[in-house]
Amino acid sequence: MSKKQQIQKNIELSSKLADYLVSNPNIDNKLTGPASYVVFSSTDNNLNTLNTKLITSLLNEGKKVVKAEETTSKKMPWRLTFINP
Amino acid sequence: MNKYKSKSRYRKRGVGTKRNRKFINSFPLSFESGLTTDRLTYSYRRDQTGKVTEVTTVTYDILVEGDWITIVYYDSTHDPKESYLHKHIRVALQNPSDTPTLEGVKRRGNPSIWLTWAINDIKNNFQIYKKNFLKRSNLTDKV
Repeated sequence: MSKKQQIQKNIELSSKLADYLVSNPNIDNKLTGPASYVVFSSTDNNLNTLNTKLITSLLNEGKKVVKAEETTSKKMPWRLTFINP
Repeated sequence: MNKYKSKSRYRKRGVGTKRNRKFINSFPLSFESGLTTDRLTYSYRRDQTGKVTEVTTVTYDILVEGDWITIVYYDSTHDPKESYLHKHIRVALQNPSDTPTLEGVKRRGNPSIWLTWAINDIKNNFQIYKKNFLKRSNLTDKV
């Protein structure tokens, strides 16, 4: 996969997560207030390394952070983990 | 030397300290019936030499039922040791959560380059961002 293709795939990944969150509004019920959902790819380790650092920055800014890991399951395409500061 | 001599003449404006001034600007991206429905707002900090030291925020807002809603924004991290630009995309009108990401975001360069890049990204792609947001929010383009 070329770099451009990987970037395009990753851009689609954020949209895919947003679509999933819209389709499952009950997910946010466990949180009080809006949160930042950070995407982790099942294939792109470079993106995951960068986003791990991003989580640290967001926590330092006092934001609620949820780690959203892409899975291969069709029933549960995302594994969501609330990150404690 | 007179110990009571005023030291004010030694403290010239900006000398010895780095003034980190904040700048804010905004401009419309589109018009409809004479009204702005899309706008870009950006704020950044510059030191006394004019060098951009921080991209505070670059936001893309749309007008929805009389209210301005930020649907995409960029900011740089606050860690001075490792600063980089990242993008936040609001999930939907009904869901104010966002998906911060580094994908497709310029990583190399400095805050000045990031600021220009973020502004151009929104100017070039705001219609796509808006279309995706309205679709997730179950809204039509004419809101």
